[in-house]
Amino acid sequence: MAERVIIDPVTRIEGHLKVEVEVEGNSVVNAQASGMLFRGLEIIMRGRDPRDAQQIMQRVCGV
Amino acid sequence: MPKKLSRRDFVKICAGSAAAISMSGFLAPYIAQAAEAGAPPVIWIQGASCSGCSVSLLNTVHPDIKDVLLKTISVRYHPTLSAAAGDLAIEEGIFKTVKENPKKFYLVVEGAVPTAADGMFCIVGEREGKPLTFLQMVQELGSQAAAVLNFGTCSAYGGLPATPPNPTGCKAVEDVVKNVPIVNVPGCPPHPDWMVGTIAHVLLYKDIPELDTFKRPKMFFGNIIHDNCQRRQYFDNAIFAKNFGDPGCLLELGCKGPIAHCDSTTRLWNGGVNWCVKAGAPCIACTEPQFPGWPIYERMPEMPIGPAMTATVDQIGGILGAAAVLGVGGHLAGNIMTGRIGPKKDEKEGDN
Repeated sequence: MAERVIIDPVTRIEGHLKVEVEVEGNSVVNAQASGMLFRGLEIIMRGRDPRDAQQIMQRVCGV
Repeated sequence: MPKKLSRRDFVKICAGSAAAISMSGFLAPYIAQAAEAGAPPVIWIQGASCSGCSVSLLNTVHPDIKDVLLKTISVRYHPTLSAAAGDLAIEEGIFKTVKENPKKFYLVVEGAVPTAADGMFCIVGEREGKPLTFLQMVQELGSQAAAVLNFGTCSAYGGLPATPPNPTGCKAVEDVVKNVPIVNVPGCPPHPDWMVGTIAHVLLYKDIPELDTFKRPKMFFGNIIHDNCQRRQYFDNAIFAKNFGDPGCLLELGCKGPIAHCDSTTRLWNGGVNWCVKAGAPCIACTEPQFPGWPIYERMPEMPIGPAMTATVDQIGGILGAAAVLGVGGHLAGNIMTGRIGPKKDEKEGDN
């Protein structure tokens, strides 16, 4: 029987990350990492002046 | 051990030009003193954010302020800095602190609060095997905090993720947490001094600083960019830059300085090196609630003629955004009447 280990949140990164690992007898048999934030900046950019992209898209990540 | 700093002197130091002295460095011993006397714990949480505000905080000139903020005062949780992760961060870092210090801890929020789809657009962790949304966390922690300090325009006013069409239903913290004192420190990102000064104020005086209508500390956001702009003389002489890199006022290139409240003009960024407009970039008014819901590189719209005045925070009141634009509209209109800003048809390439 595989053991599930969930780390949520993963700290010391930018954003919200969740990691799920399945361990069977000391070896990892399955692993998933999920980004837990959606802001939709691409949707916000639709229909805007193309010059605005440099101000809006640079704010995807501030690190 | 430093002498006790009166609140009046504190505000004077914060509001004064910090270009000559390092405000953070000056305040560091006072913050340390307050911490020794038992400063309240601080919990720092992030929602729909980019961590840019945290990074800006680490950009303080005085190197010791990081140690003061992160070691001397009691920051129990910070998503980008805490060593604890997973259950340990959620249970020990956050909820245990809340339980042990009801109505005593200060909550720093960075990032807007997505409310669409029950807040599932931002999940900050897991509790009892169920996803914990940022909406739940802000509401639960906010209602039990001594005060909420919103660092950055996103948590203060919704900011970038709340820009129409606002796909994730992002809201300001103020719209989802009621009955708790709120301090907004907007900016995209805020200047490190604004954050350090606000934290120092609540730690030293166990009270929030004096605020304007938009709940911004007056000591940092009392002035309009346009009033102290280094390019103001160009505006008064009707010299307007037509292209980036030209000398002149940046109004025609989209500068929103006439409606933006902050003290970047005198405080300067990156250790007093420079700031946006001085570097040739039009002000985007990132400290205002409407940011960035306007065309960034287009000239501010002309507004109906109002009294020719430079709007100040206190004069504006009520529906402040519209009134600010109106006040500035009057200011601009006055200049149009006196011929400082010519009609567009008279403009020729390079007729500065």
